Amino acid sequence: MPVSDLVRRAQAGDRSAFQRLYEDHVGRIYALCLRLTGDPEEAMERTQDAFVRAWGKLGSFRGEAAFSTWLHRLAVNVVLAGRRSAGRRERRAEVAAAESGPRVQPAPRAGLGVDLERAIARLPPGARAVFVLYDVEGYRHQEIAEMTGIAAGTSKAQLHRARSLLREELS
Amino acid sequence: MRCEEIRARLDDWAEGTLPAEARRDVAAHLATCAACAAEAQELKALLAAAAELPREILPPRDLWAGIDARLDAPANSSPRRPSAGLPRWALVAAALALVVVTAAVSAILTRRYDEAMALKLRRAGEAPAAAGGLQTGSRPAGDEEARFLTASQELLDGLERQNLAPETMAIVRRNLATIDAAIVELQVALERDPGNGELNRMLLATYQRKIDLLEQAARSADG
Repeated sequence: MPVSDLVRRAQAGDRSAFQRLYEDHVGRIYALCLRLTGDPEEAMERTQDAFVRAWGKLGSFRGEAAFSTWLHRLAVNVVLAGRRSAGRRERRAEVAAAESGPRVQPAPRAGLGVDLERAIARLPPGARAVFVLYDVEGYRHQEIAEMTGIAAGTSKAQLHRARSLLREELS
Repeated sequence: MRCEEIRARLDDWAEGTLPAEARRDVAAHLATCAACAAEAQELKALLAAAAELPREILPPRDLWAGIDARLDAPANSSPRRPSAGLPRWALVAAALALVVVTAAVSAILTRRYDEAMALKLRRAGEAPAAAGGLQTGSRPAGDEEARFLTASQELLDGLERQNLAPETMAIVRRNLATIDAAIVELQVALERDPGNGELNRMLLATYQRKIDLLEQAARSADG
């Protein structure tokens, strides 16, 4: 069944149609949440939050963008909002991550990107978010600025920082 | 130019957003500085690795049951039906504005494409007279190279103004990065061997590939 039909049915309250949408998109959303958080447990929580939020907001989806794009952006907002609310705890985590690496790393998977995945997880949260959104997900600095509440110039500086740290880590 | 200044520009260089003159400065420096060239290679490798990361990763356990249970919460009990939202006059105004903007962007992109094609045809027409187009012993004519760079930058700017989906933009960026890397390698090779006519031709052909890619992306976005 086409995505547009599933969306229409889900908007009408059809939970099985929404489950199909979940099954089709969970891999993409979990990958995003995992890279943004650097923590599999938190990534699973955020993935669930994103789909619950999507269910509540389906009525506002009008099809201007692809459903996958809408859902992806909604998931970014969910993760970033969660991290903002962490506040002071987050800043402590950033210092700890810089000093000793993350508390939990993504489970290694076969393939050439494993080292890079681990290195991304070890980045400070701000630099990690910008690197993932720009270099992996393809958002522009202005979009990242709008989503994260930082200036576009800061996004660019964070990207430079992230790339430098990753090059050091991987060299 | 000092290494520090070059390294500060490598991000823009890798993305192909440096102005033409600055790109040439970076290329000239990379041709003579092994340390900066190594750093540039590391950056290119990093961006290539990031582009190759899997788009999808399945979570270690199924999350649907937890999601399903939460959909019954009062705040999430059922999706709101699509409502009328904006009044009809606002929708009509927005649609008209979209048509105007789209037409303007199309006109700009089409004009740039025509310029690039005219340049391409002129170059092809000049080739026999110049015994292979570009004379051995010369870099591509500076103004010709500059016009390609200007045309590609304006196409890129036009593309950035369109609301392409992030994943589409990521694909375009990845392809551009590949082409830009080839351009820089050719520029570096030409710094070492400026009389190589084959390299000159390859450089201009690579510029044309960039124009073609941008034009194709712009047409897709427009369609």
